[in-house]
Amino acid sequence: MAEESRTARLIEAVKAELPNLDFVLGYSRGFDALHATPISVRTGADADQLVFDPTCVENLATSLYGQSGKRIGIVVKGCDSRSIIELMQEKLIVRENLVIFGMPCRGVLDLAKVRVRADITQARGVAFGAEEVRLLLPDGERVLPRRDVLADKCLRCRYPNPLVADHMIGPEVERAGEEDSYADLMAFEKLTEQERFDFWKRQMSRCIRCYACRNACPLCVCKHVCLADSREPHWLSAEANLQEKWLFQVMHALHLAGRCTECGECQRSCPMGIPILLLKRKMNRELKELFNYEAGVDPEAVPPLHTFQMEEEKIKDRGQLW
Amino acid sequence: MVARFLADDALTRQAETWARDYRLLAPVREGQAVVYRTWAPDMRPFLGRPPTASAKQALLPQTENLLTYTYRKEPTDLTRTEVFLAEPLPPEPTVVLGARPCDARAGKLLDRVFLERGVKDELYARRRAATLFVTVACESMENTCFCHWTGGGPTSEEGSDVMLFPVSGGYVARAITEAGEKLLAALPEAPAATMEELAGILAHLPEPGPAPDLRQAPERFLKLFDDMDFWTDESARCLSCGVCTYLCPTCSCFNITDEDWGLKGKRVRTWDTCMSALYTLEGSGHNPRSARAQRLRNRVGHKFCYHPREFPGETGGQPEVSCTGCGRCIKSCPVSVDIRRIVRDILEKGEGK
Repeated sequence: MAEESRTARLIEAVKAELPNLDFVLGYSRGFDALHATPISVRTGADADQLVFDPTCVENLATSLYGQSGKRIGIVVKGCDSRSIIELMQEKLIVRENLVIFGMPCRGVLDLAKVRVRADITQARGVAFGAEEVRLLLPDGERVLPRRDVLADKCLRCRYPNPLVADHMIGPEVERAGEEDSYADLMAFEKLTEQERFDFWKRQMSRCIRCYACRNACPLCVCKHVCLADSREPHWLSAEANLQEKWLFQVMHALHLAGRCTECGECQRSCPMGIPILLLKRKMNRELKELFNYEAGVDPEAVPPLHTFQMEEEKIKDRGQLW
Repeated sequence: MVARFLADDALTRQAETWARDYRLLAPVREGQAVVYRTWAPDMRPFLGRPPTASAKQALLPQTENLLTYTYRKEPTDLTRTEVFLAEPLPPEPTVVLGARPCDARAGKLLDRVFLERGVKDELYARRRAATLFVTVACESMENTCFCHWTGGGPTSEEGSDVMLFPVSGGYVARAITEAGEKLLAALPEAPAATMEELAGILAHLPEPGPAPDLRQAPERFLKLFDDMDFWTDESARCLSCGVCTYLCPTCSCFNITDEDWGLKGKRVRTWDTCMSALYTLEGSGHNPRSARAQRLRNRVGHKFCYHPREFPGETGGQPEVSCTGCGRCIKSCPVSVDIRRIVRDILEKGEGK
């Protein structure tokens, strides 16, 4: 099995680097076969627990910020590598302190999509074929087409191979994703303003303000000075009201404009299944149209909303008009 | 009490009947989630799987109005201010439909906190007395379920007023309390064939896996308390969000804040989460739990050490833990932190300490 030998090569590479690192962020098996859970690898025995397959959905780059002074290894997929690049662009992490283990990826599972097709609450096992996912359930095997249960971001993935890596655990994967047509957003924008607002009111009403969306976001770096928690200034009331929930999501989307790489962790982490990635996609499409800019692709690029200067170098000379 | 029959197609009608006399909280499907909503016409209750959030909100709402206040300035002397206070309305009689045995059992653990710790929380007490639980028994255990660790089980009656047992075509409804009996008064007696079917189902309930002996958990937890390497490794996955605490049927921490709006305002009690760094941030700027390792340690310690030490059960028996094993913290955790694994690690690694 190619994936198994790849995992073995990953473990080998991690073990070789461990002496130079504080720890390595990777994936281990979670509470069942359909769940992976992040692990900090410190020892060879920890490294032996590493796994890599389509259940490795988490974006581990979320744990990178705020670790200054540490030398960290990290296992990344193509999409995760874009978060690292964006963090580098924003000078929030130091590249030299990172050792990146790049895992070319053919897509990860969207468990929400699996759940509407099969009851996986008692899943016993899973196997991944080239075109199908085989679930082992209490009442037998259930085969699902792979494309049906991959995350949306994987279906339109243009960077299946990590854009930055020190160890590429290949082989590299050919790009299979389609160009992002923003079809979901366009369909949504066909609704009237009232219909759209009603949609969000309905969706946001089940938000429990747990802030998993914020904490799972690799680029939400305000940490405990987040406006959602601030009492001075008092942006949000502590009440679990629609208006507070909605205000936070709008601010989150605005703060991520031109920074969000659409890793989708906000939406995936939401226990209530609120489709909040759509708000970020809206901002990203605007940024693409206005500045022809895509976040987290080029380490040298300056994000458009980072170009603001208190004093412009020079005011445009408009000549003598009167 | 007689066992009665609630047919699938009579469920909505029965819910409507209850909604006339009570505030009815019923689970409905919304996208991927199953959430409790206050009854409204056209609602279709969904009892097919455990609700995403627990039924805690019935006893401890996420936002609870403690009082409202209005300031009035003396027009002739603006340095003089009067304050007018208004108390909230008393809680309405409530029926929670579709809770699971693990949710219903949580009431007892919340009582420990709000009623039995010396200070009786009047608001909670009134809400508690006004709330009835119509619980759905579980036919199977999910990969995240561990009610049997905590003294519960898929058909545990503790804390319920009515138990609904799924059978073909509907539910066998069994009253557990007098109040529950009243809720079922209009339902027909369950036919003999249905009762036979139920007996068959109950005789073949799935056998849960082995549960660890938790008697040593408090002591071993304390032995590991200062082992920060242990807690750092256990919390390496944690994002410090509030999913686990907010979905938990027994997490009871709250905050009290004044939410001003000009010269008016509300004093509200809202859920708080010990996973947040702000939870212990002191006015001085010092934070005794600045690392998420310390915060996750608190959550596990509270449930499996501090609670059993404060409320010791019978000597020699399994301790009462502040957890009903509903598994929501595992199932909905964005990074699959598994509290069972942490407790097992405590039992294992704390032994040799």
